[in-house]
Amino acid sequence: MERVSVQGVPGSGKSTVGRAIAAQLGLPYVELDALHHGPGWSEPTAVEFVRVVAPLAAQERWVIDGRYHGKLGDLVIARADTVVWLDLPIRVWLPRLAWRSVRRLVLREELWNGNREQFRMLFVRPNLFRWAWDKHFADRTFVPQWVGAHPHARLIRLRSRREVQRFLGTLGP
Amino acid sequence: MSARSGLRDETWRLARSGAAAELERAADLLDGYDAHRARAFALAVEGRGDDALAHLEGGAEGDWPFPDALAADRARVRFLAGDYARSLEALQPAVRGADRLDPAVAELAADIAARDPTLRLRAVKLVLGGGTTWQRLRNAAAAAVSRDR
Repeated sequence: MERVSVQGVPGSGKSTVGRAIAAQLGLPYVELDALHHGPGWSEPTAVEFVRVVAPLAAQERWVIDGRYHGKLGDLVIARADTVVWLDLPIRVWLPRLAWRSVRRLVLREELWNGNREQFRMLFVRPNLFRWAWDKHFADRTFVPQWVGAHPHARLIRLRSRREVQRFLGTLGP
Repeated sequence: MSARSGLRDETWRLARSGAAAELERAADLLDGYDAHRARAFALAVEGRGDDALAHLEGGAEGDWPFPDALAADRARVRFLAGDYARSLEALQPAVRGADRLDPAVAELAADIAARDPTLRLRAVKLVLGGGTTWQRLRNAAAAAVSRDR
């Protein structure tokens, strides 16, 4: 396991699990959100984003958290040897997402590049919750097909917190 | 890539670390000029400066990249190939008369001075030729005291 793509809806624990995999396997960790959201919530174009991510994906070893399929296409999975998919139940990720959003709003936590969660962004359409909800169901069709189209990549689908813990426990010290 | 975009130039970072194989792979993942740029850097890292420059030029189309960005990339290729005098020379069009200087360009001038201290004075003069007054002073100071990383 040298190049790991971590997938999942917001609140599923992608960053936490991605960092844990990176730490246990000694791999560099890359969070696509941090690269994508520039100061003032600015976003790169697809060409600009590919320009940043391609040299990272070209490296020998990494954990890349996130997909951005609309901008990156298959760039990351084309190089990944493993896809870890956090397909957790709604009852697990939805409360986490709600709690995380409230915590970020109240504590004014910095997310990336000086950006902070904004109250209005919880309500703009599609808001984060609606988007996560739709993605939860869409991914059940998309992810298996997407990974299946890249047979060099092994899909590890984790459906519960216990499976996540068990998986992390198999990675070594 | 211009640092003005606010995005990190990961291709240049790979090149600075001498990762030729990774640059080749990045070139396969990139398109157009960006692919040429990555491959040119890989060739330059392998010491094939002239081939690298020809490959870089071959990727330029019409008005892309902008002339100052292309000049900076030519300078980067020369730098990677170890030809610091020509790197500094190639950097001139990217600096001269610029209203605001791309910090990555100023950084390259300082790196050249660090790698070849005999070029330090020329590097200082070069960065005094472009950017805001504050940038000119700051970049000149950086080029004057830069040390090899």
